[in-house]
Amino acid sequence: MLHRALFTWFLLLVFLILLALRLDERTKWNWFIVFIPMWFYDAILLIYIGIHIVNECRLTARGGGSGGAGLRGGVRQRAEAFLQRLWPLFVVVLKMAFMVALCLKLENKVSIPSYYVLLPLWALLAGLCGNVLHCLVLQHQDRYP
Amino acid sequence: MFFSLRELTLWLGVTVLEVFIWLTALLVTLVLVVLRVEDVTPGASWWLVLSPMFVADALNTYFCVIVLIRMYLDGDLKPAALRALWSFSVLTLGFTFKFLLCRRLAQPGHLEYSAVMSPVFILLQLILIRACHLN
Repeated sequence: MLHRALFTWFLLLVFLILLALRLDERTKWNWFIVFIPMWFYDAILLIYIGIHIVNECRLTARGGGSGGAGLRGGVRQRAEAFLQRLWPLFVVVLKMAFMVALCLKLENKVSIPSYYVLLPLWALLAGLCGNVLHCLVLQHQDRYP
Repeated sequence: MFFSLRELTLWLGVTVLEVFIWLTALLVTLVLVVLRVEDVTPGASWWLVLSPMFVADALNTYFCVIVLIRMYLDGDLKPAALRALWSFSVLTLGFTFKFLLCRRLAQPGHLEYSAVMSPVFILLQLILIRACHLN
């Protein structure tokens, strides 16, 4: 975990330095260049998530043949597991969509209203809130069954 | 994803409840920012727009005080002091950043963005120290 934390920390630091320089107009760089650390981070995230999904699918395919009890429950569990696997992918795609829209808006390439720019971020934050709330409820149930 | 919620809370030294409060406040703030930018509420000041974040800070401070008191009553003096020191440092730096940001947005040209973001850079150094303690 230490390496992942240090990698995230370093990219965040570089991004914030570039952001401060651009906001103070010490540079006139394109906004897409300012966001390069974030693009790089998202690319790494996509590769990481892709490898995880492939690994889990292979493991499920190996274990899928054994046991036929509870077909309906099994289908539901599989659907839930599939959604859980896809959730990180949704997060990264929504984040990237927000960043592309924001960069386009800041560069004045297209005149899109602000609510369209922030729509992916709202969806992302709402999903994250729901996810964290779910964890909070599970934690509470574990402590006070 | 890259980090699980448990790993994130361990690294950042916050609880799941604090993360939830912060995320909810951020979502509400972003809705208010769009309303302000799109001139739906042109008269609203930036202090009002960022008020959900200040409310979240107040709620998190209240929560940290409760945790501090409960840990103190349980006799965990040193962990209670360390936890309180970390939580209040993070909350103070976050509050300072939001305060300076509001001042910058209300009075453009009064402050540079590098000055506004200086609490965030200090916070990043503290987070780096915590990351080095992870295994």
